[in-house]
Amino acid sequence: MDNKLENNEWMDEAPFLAKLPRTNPFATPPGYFEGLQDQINTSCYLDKFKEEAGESAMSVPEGYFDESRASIFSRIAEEGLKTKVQEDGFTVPEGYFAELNSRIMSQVTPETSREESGKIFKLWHSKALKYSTAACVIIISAIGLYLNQQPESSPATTSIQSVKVSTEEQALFDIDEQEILDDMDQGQSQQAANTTASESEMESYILNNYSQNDIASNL
Amino acid sequence: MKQVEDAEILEKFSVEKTRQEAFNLLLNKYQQKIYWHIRRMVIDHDDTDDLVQDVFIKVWKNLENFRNDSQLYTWIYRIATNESITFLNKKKQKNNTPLDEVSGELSESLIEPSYFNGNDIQLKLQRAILTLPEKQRLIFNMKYFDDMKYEEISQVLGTTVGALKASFHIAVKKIEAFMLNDDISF
Repeated sequence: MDNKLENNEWMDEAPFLAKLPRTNPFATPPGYFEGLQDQINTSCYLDKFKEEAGESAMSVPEGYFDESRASIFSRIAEEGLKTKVQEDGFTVPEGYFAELNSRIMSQVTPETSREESGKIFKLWHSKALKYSTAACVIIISAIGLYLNQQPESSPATTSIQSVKVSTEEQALFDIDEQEILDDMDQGQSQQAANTTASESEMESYILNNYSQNDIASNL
Repeated sequence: MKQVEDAEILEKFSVEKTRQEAFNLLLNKYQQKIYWHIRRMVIDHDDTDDLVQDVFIKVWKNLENFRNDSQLYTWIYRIATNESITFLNKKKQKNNTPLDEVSGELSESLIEPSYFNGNDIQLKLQRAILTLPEKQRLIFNMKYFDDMKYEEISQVLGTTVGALKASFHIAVKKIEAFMLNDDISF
């Protein structure tokens, strides 16, 4: 009764609204209310479970979420930048990379072969030294040949002699040239002096070395 | 199905053995009423579904502390009302939306094919209701659609009967004017 009176008051004030049917314009998905009870029971159970289980035992390092957020933002910015700027703008001459490989290989290969053969030590540091040494060897050889014109002997003695000659040549190379010439003059004069023999010595030589027939034929 | 009395529900709930049975009885009795009460406030079905579950979880957790200083269903209504208002306030803060624009957003959701079967008049009425402030909207809905008494509404909202009457009358005038305005059509 009281409610009817309460309603009649506003109905008089709003007759158009009062005439409108009080139908519910809202709808729900099919079978919604049939399943709502189970849904609510499940929610209550899960809520109770959360309370009993307490907070998660898992933890994260200190400052993790702040760092994570910062890294997420930077990743987003990075990807945004990549979509806007796909290339860095640098270019290379046409065919550059095709030639590059062969150029590198050509520079690398000689060094590698040298490395494989082992270390090389230079004997002569300059060409001048090399040539002067060769000239000296030639001069010494020539002098040696000139001074030592001897018949051929056995290979062993030849080798000994050649060593002796080379050492004698080296000694001659060390001696002054004028001394050599003076020595040669003295030797010739001595030789001239030593070639004079007595008549008796000559007679005895002839008789000892030649037969009577040879002497008679020559006479 | 015979409606179970609130006293029986509370008695069974107090015993651990019959607690689940009591809760099922409570759900059978009030789930649809609470659903529509929330739905008229937040409009969207999915939002309503979430809030309905939140409400009954709170009922489950706090029913053993219910002191019988009000009726069971007004107590549940109060929980549902508070949850709805909290939800709408959060929506305003989240979207940084001014107070008057939230109603506009809710009004837009009426047009979407998301479980609204009303005709043009009904649509216009819902839009008219959405122009009211939140508390006034609650009062209008509980009085107009749920046919609740001012005393019951007073228990739900914690507002005096006189204030409720005044607020409801103002709401009715606003809606009447909106409905009669031929310039507003959809």
